[in-house]
Amino acid sequence: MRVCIKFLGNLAELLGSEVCLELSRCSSIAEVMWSLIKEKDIPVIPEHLIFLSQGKSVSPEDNICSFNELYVIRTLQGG
Amino acid sequence: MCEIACSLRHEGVIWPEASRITVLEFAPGVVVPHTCVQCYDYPCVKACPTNALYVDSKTGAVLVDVGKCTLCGACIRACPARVPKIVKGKNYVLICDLCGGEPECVKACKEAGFNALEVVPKPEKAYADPYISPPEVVASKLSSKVYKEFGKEVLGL
Amino acid sequence: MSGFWGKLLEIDLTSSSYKEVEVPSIIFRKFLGGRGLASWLLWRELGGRWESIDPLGPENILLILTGPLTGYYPGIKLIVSGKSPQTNGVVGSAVSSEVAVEVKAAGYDGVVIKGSSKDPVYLYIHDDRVEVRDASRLWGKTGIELLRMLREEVRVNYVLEGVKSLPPALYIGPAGENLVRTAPVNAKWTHGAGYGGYGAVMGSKKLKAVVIRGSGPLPKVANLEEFIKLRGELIKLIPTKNYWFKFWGTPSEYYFAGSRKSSEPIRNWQEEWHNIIEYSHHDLETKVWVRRFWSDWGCSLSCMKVSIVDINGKYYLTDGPDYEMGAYLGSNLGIFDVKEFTALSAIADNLGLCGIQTGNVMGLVFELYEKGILTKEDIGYELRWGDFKVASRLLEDIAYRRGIGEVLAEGTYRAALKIAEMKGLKPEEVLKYAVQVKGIGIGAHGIRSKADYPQPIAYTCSVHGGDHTSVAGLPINTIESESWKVFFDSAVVCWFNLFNIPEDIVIKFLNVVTGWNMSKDELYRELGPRILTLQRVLLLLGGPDVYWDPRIHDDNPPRFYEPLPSGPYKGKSGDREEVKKLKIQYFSELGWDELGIPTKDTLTKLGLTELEPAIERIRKRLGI
Repeated sequence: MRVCIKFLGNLAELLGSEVCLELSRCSSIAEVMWSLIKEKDIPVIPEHLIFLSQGKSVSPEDNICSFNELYVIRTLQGG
Repeated sequence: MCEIACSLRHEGVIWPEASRITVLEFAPGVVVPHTCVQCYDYPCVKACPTNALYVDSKTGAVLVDVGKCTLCGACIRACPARVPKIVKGKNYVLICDLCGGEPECVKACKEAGFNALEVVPKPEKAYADPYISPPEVVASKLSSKVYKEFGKEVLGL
Repeated sequence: MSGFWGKLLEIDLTSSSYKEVEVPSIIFRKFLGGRGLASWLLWRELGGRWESIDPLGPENILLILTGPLTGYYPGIKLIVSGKSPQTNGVVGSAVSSEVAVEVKAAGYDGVVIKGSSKDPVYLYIHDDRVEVRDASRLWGKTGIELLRMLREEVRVNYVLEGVKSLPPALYIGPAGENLVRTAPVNAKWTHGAGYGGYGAVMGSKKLKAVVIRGSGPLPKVANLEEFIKLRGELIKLIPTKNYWFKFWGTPSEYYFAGSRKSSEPIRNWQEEWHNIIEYSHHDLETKVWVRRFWSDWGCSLSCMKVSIVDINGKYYLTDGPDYEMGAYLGSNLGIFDVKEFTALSAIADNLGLCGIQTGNVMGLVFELYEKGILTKEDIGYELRWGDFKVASRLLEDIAYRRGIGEVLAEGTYRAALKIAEMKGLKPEEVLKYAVQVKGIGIGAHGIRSKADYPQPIAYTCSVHGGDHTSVAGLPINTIESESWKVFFDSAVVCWFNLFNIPEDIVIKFLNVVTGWNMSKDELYRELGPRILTLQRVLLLLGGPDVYWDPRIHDDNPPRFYEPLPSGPYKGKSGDREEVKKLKIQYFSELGWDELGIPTKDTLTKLGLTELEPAIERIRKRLGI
C-alpha cells in the first residue's frame, strides 16, 4: 500500500517536504511515524507531532491508509 | 485541580475561594492541601452556639445546617487548623462534607496523575492525630523533608 | 458574556485613584484578551503620540491581563504588557501566576496601571477594595525577602487569619527598581514575565508589587456540562500524550537541543552543538532536583521541578532551571556544570533579572572581551568563559547598574550601540556580536541547523523580535505561523499545555466557554492577522530612543549567517536569499507589503482602518 505524507515547517528540512512509503500493511499513523523517525534518526519526539487531513486534525491512532492526504506538523517545544 | 473540582461540584462554577479544600504554598514545592480531616472530638461541632453543625453518620464528615448558621466564626476558632471558611456570597460556613463519600478532589488529583489525596476509612485516633495540625506545622515538616538542612531557612517562618 | 467580565480595573498612581472601565464584548471577540486586548488598549490610549511616549516614563501604561480561557483551560498564564522598553512596540509577556485567577475572581479581566508614584508603593487589591500602600520598607529587597515581608503585611486568606503562606503577587527585584531593561515582572519565587522588559516599567512607576485577592467565582461558562466533560478529557490527555514534558520539563532540552538539534547558544552563539553528557536533565535530576512535580494553578502537566544547590553553606533555590535561563546562564557563558548554572539561575531570579535577556547581554560582553574590543580596564575585572564567580558578579553589577553594568543594563541592542560609541567604533562593528532582533535577545533555539523548530524567518518576521515563544513561520494557516502564538497569548493559555493538542479541540473549548462560534479559519485569517497587524504598526512607530527600519532590521543577527563550526550540522548557516524570499511570502500572506507594512486593503478587511494615519507616520519617517 503506497502512502504519501507531507511535512510542514522544519520537518520538511529533516525528512523532505513529501515522503512516499510502500507499506506491507496498514498500521496507525503513530506506528509509521515512529519507525520513520527511528530510521532517519531525526531529533523529533513522536508525542510532539500533530496530523492534519483536509484541514482537520486526525488522531495518531487512526489507520494511515484511510487518508488520501496527510500533513504532519511539529508542535513547538522548549521554553 | 482540587479547588476547581470542589467548587464545581458544590457551587456549579469555578470558585477557588469557596472550595472546601485550599492549596497553600509556603515555598516552591512546599505545598499543603488544607481541608477538614474529621477530628475525633469534633471541636467545631461542640463550639457552635446555634447547633448548626452535626456529624454525618455514614461518612463521619461535618455537615452544616444552612438555616441555623449565623457566620459567627466560633467553629473556625475552635478548629486546631482553622479549616472552616467564611466566604463572601455564602450565608453559611464552608466545611468539607466528603461529597457524601466519594470526594471530587481525590478524583481530580488522581486524574491529573498526582495522587496526593486519598480517602481512607477512619483510623485509630493515634494514627490520625498527626494530621490534625495547623498548615504551618505541616509545611515545616515538609520543608525539612524537601530541603533537608535548609528546610527551616527556606520556609523563613 | 461567558468566560469573561468585560470589565477592567484602572488605577492611577499619580493621583492614587481608581475606577472600573467597561470593555464591550465585541472587543473580546475581535482581540480576545491578553496580548490582543493589550495591543488594542495601548493603541487606543497612546497610539496617537506613540513615538514620544517613553516606556520608562509616567505616560506608559502597565497592563496585567487575563483572557477568556484563563482559569478554564488547564494550566495558567497571565499577560503583562505596556510599551516595551526593549522593542518600543507592544510585547505580550506571559508569566505563570495564580494572580491570573485572583484577578478574575476579584471581578475583573485585568488591571490597568497608569501614571507613577513619587514614593515606592505596592498595590493591594481585594475584590473591589484597592489600596495604594507604602512600600518604603520593601524597596531594595530581593525576591525572596520581599515575598516574606509581603506575607507579613498581607493576610493571605481573610478567613484563615494568620496563615503564613505566600501571597499571590507580582513583584520586581532590585533590577526592576533600577530600571534595568532586562528586568522581568516576577511571580511565585522563580517565575517571570521576561520578554518586553516590563520589570523596568514597574520600577519607573515606583511600583514594587501588586497583590491581588479575589474572593468571588469566575464568570459562568456558556455550556457547563460540555465544559466539565471537555476539561476532564484535557486534564487526562495533556500529560499522557506528553509524558516527556511532564517527567523532564524544559530541562530535557539542555542535552537534546545541544547534541541532537544543534540549536543551543554556546559562548554567545559562536557554536550551537555540544556533546557534554553531564550537561543534561539526568545530571540535574541526580544533583539538584528535590521535587519532580511542582504545579502552577490548575495544571496537570506540572513540567516544572524544584532545585536547590548548596555553595559554601548558602542555598540557591530555583525551578528546573527552565531551559532558557539555564542555557543562557550556562552554555552561553561556557558554563557546563549543572550546579553552577542552577545557582546562577537562582541569583538572577532573586535579583529580578531575566535569564534570557541578561544572559544574552552577558554573552555579548564576554565575547567583546574575548575579541579584545573591551579590556580589563573597561570591566574592572577579567571576563572568562566558564567562570561561575565572574558570571555571578556580573549579574549583580547589571542589577545594580555598577561599572559596566550601567551599559549592559540597557539590553543587548542599546548596550552594543553604547559600547561602539565608547570605543569610537562604527555601530555595525559591535552589533555583529549582538544576537538579538529588534531589541530582544533571541531565545535559546537557533535557526541555522533547521533541526529545531524555528524557521529561517522565525525571528526576522516576528512582532516580538527574538521571542522564541512567538516565532513566525509558514504555512500561514497552521501552528507554524505567529497567528497561533497570538491566539494562545490572547486567550491566555499556557503554551506547554498545547503541545500535542490539535487547534480544533482548543477552539472548541473556547466556544464551549464563551458561547462563540470561532472557527480555525477565523483564527488564521482574521483574529491572528488583526492582532499582528496592530502590533506591527506599533512596533514600527517605535521611539523615542530607537526606531526600526524594515529594510535593515527585519533580519537575523549577523551571527546566524556564519556557518556552524561543529557538530552534525557543521557548515550550515542562514541563507540571506532564502530569508528574503520567505519574508516576502510571509508578509504577503498576512496582507502586508514587501516591507511588512500593512496594506490599506488589509486594514479594511480586518476592521483597522483607524491605523491609516499611523502608517502614514511610519512611511514619512522611513522616507517612502
